[in-house]
Amino acid sequence: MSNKYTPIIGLEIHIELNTKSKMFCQCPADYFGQEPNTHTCPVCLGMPGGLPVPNEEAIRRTILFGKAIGCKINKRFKFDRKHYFYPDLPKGYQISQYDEPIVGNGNLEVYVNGEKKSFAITRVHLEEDTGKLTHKGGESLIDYNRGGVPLMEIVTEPVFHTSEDVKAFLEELQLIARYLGIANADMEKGDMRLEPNISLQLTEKLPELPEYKVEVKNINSFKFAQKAIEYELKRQEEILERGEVPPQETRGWDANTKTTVPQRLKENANDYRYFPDADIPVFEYTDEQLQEIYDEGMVRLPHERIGTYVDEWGVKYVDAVTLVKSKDTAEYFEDLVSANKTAGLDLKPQQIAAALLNKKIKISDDPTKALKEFKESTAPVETDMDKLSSVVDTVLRENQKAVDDFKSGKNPNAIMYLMGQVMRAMKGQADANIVKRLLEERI
Amino acid sequence: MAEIYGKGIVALKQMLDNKEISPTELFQYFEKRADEHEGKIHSYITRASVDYNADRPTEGKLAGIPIAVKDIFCTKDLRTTAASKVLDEFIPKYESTATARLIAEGAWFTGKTNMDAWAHGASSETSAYGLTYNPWDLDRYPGGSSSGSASVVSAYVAPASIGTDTGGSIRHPASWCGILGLKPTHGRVSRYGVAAMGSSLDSPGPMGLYTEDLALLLEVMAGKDEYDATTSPSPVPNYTADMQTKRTFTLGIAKEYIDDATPDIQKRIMETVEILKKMGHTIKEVSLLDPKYAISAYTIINRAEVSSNLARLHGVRYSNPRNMFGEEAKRRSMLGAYALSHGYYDEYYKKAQKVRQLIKQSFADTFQSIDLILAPTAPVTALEVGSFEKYPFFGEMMDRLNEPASVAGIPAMSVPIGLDGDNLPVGMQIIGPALHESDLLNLSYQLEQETDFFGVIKQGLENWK
Amino acid sequence: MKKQADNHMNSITTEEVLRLASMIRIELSDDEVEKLREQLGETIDYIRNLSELDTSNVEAEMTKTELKNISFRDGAPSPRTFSQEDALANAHKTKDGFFVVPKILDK
Repeated sequence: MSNKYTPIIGLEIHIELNTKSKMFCQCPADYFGQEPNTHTCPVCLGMPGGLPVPNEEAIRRTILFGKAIGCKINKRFKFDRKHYFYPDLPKGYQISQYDEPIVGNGNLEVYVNGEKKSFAITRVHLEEDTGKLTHKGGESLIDYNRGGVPLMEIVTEPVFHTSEDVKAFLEELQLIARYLGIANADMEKGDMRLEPNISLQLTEKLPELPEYKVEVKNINSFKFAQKAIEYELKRQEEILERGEVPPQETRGWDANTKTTVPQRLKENANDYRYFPDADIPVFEYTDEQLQEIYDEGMVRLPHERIGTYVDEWGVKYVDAVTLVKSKDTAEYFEDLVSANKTAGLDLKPQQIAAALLNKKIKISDDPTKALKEFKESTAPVETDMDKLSSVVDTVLRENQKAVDDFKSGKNPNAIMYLMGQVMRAMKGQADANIVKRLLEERI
Repeated sequence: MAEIYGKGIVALKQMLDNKEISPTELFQYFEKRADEHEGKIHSYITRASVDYNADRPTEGKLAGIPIAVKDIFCTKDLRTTAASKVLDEFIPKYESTATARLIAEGAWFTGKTNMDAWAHGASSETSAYGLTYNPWDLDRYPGGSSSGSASVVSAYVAPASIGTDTGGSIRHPASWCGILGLKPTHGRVSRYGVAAMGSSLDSPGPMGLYTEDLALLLEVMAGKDEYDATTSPSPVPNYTADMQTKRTFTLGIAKEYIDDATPDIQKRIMETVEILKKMGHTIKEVSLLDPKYAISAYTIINRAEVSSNLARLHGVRYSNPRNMFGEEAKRRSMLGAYALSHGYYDEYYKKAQKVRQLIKQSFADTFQSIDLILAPTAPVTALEVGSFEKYPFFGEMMDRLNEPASVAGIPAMSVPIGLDGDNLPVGMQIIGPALHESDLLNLSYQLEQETDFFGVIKQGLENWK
Repeated sequence: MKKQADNHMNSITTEEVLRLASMIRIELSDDEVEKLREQLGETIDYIRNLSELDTSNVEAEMTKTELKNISFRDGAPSPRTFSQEDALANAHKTKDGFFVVPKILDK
C-alpha cells in the first residue's frame, strides 16, 4: 500500500459467553456437538407467549469485560428489539441493546510488536445469538440450539490502520475474555466473530472519514482476519485508483478463493425498527453493586502483567508477551518469581522466564521445588576428564568428514555436531565449555 | 341432585366437595349444554373432552371445576389458534402460567373460546373461525376480543372463564354479555404462554357470574412468575376474604368518561351512583385526561407491539405462512411498523410513551383524593352484527373508555348495572390504583349483595334455562 | 382508483404502504394497498392529536419502571426445555432433527 491512502478500519466483534444457561431462558447454552434442537424451549424457539428473562451472569460478565477493556459501565441499561426476518432468528427480532447498552466508550491499550497503542472502543452490548443454518441441496436445515446463547458485541471507533493492529487488538480481547473466564472466544469454533468495516481515505484528506465503507463477514480465524483486510484494502485501492468509489456494501470472506465477495442483502435491512422490549424491565445498578462485581470477578489483566514483568522484573518484552498468552502460565511464572525470592535462590526473573518457556522448569504444585531442581540442573557438571579425553579421541577418529569440514572452514557448525556426539557418549555428564575447548585443541 | 344451572364455581365446588356430583358428571353437564347451545352462540373454537382432563389433580381450590379458556392461552396438547389461520393446527407442547396454575388447583377446561384473531377487535368479527353471538340478542355482537369467554358464561355453557384484556378485551364483552369481567393490574397475572398482543398492556383475567368466582380465579392465577419478568412480586391477597369486609369508598366520577356514553347508559350509571351513596359511599367529581388521547397513545403503543409480536409467526417452526394473517392483523402490523420506522419513531412511538406517562400521572393524581373511579365500560350497548363495517376504527371506538386504564396498567372491572331501552345489559367500570384488585372486588361484592346487579345476571340466566 | 381529494389521503403514500408491507413480510393485492393506504391515513390523522399535548417536560416511559434488575440465576434448572420431538412437533418439515426450509440466500 502506498502512502497515498490510509486504511480506516472499525471493528464489530461478537464474543459468545460460555454461561451455563442461555441469555433469556434456562436452556443449556452449550450447543457445540449437541443433537440438533435439543436445547430449546418456548422462549428460544420464539413460540407464542414465550417471554425473555435475562440471565444475570451474562450481564455480570459483560460488566466485567467492559471494565477490563477500559470502558465506562452504564449503571442504567435496557434491552431493545431489533427487527428483521431470517429463518435463524426465531422471533423475527433479536433482543439486543440500542441506545442504552451495558458498556459505554473507553480505550484499550494493546502492545503491537512491543509498541503500546491505544484503541478507542465505542460500546459493548449484550444480545442473543441466532440459530444455525446449514445449506444442503435445495434446502436449509435449522438448529436452534445456539439460538438465544448470550453474545457480547464490541464496537470500536474507526481507529485501526493496519491489519496487524487489528490482529493484536483481537488477540488482546480474546486473552482478556479468557483471563476473566467468561468466554472461550475461539474464532475457529465461531465463539468469536469479526466484522470489520474497511475503507481507504486519501492521506491528505485525514482526519476526515471516507464517504463509504465495506463490511466484511464470515471471518473465522485471526489469520483470515488479516488476509481479508489486506485483500479488501488492495481491492479498494485498485477501484480508487481507477477514479471510482467502492460501493458501500457487505461482503463475505471466501476462505477457498481467499477473496471477498458481495453478499446479497434484503431490502429494508437497515430499518430495524428498534424499540424497548416491554418484556424486560430496566436495569439499574448502584456503584456498590458494580464494585461487588469487580471485586468478585476482576483479575490482573495480561497487559498489566506485561508491565510488571518488563518494567519491574526486567523480563524481555517478547518473553513477557509469550508468558501472558496463558493465564495459567503467567500465574505460575509469578509463583516462581515469588518462590525464588522467598527461598533466596537468587535466580533472575528473566532466567526463570526463559527456562519456563523452554520447558526447563516443570509445572508443579510446588514451585519452590521445581525452581530448586532447575537451579541444580544448571549448576556446572563434574567432568570425568580421563573418560572425556578418550571419548573425544574416538569421536574425532570416527567423524573424519566433520573434522575436515570444520578445519577447511567449509562448515563452521561441524564443531557443534562433534560436541553433540561427545555429549551423547558422555550421557550429558560433561561441562560443555570443557568439551568445546578440548575438541578445538585436538582438531 | 341439587340444581346445577346458574351456579358459580364457588357454589359448584361446594357440590363437588359434598359429593353431590362428580367432576365427570359436572363436566358432562356443560358438554351437554354446549351441544345444545353452541349452534346458536358459537363460543368455542375447540372443545375439550373428559379424556383431555383425565389427569387433573383431584385436590385443590378448583378441583373438578370446569372453566372455559380464551384461545389465546397456550394449553399443552390442546389446539391453540388465537383465532387465526396462521396457527390453525398449532398444538402447544407447553402450558401458559395462568392455565398451569388453574390446572394445579384441579380445574378442568371445557374448551378454547372464540375471540377476535390475536385479540384484535371488539366483536369477534376478526376471528378466522366465524362470529360468536350475544346470548342477549343473537343478532348482536358479544363484544370482544374475549367474545367466546363472555358468551359462554352468559349462556351458562360454562360457569366461568378466563380471558385477556389489552384495551378492554375482558371488560367490553363482559358488559355487552351482562356478566362480570376483571382486568387485573398489568403484571399481576403472568403473560407467559399467552400469545402476545401488546406486551406492555396484556392482562389475563377472570370472567364470571359472581364476584366470589372472580376473586377465587384471580387468587389462583395471580402472582410472581419466574417466566415473566414483568410480574409483580407483591404478595397475592386473599381476595375472597377481603371482599367480605364491607368497606366504604370515596368514588370518583369523571365527566370526560360519562359524556361519551349513550343517554341510557348515563342514566344507569347515575342510578347506580345514587344507590352507592345510600350505601354509605362518598361520590366526588373528578377530572381526568380526555380519553381521546389515551386512544391515540394506546393505538400507537399497541400497534408497535403487535407488529413486533407477530413477527415470530413466519412459518418456519410451527405456524402457517404470514400471508394467512387476516386483514386486521395486517393493518395493525403495518401501522406499528410505520410508528417504529426510521424518522417516525420520535413523532409517534416516543410521543405516545410520554403521553402514557401523562395518563398515569393523571390517574395517580386523581387517586390521591379518591379510592376508585366509576365509568361506563362501553359508550354503547351491544351493537348489531354488521356494524363493524361501519366503523373502520371499531375496536378503539368501542374500547375508548377502557383504554385509559390499560395504558396506565391499572386494574379495572366491569359489572352489570341494568339494561338499556333495547333490553341489553349495561356495564359499569370500577377502576382502581395498581394492585388494588381487592378494592374493586369489594365494591363489586357490595353491589351484588345490595342490588343483585340489578337483576341482570338472573335475567341472563333465565333467558338460557 | 379513488381521487386524492381528502386531506388524510396524503398522510401516507402508496410507496410507503408497499415499503411497510415488505418490511413486515406481507404481500398485498393492489386493492389491499389502496384500502390500507386510506385506512392507515385515517388512523394516522387521528393519532396525531397527541401533538396537542405538551410533553416537553415528560420522560418517556420505555419499559416497566416499577420493576428493575429482574433476572434469573445462571444454570437454574430448565424443566421446560423440549425434547427434540416436542421442539419439532408443530413444524411443517423436518429432517434428522432439523427444521427444514427452502434454501435461503446469504444474509
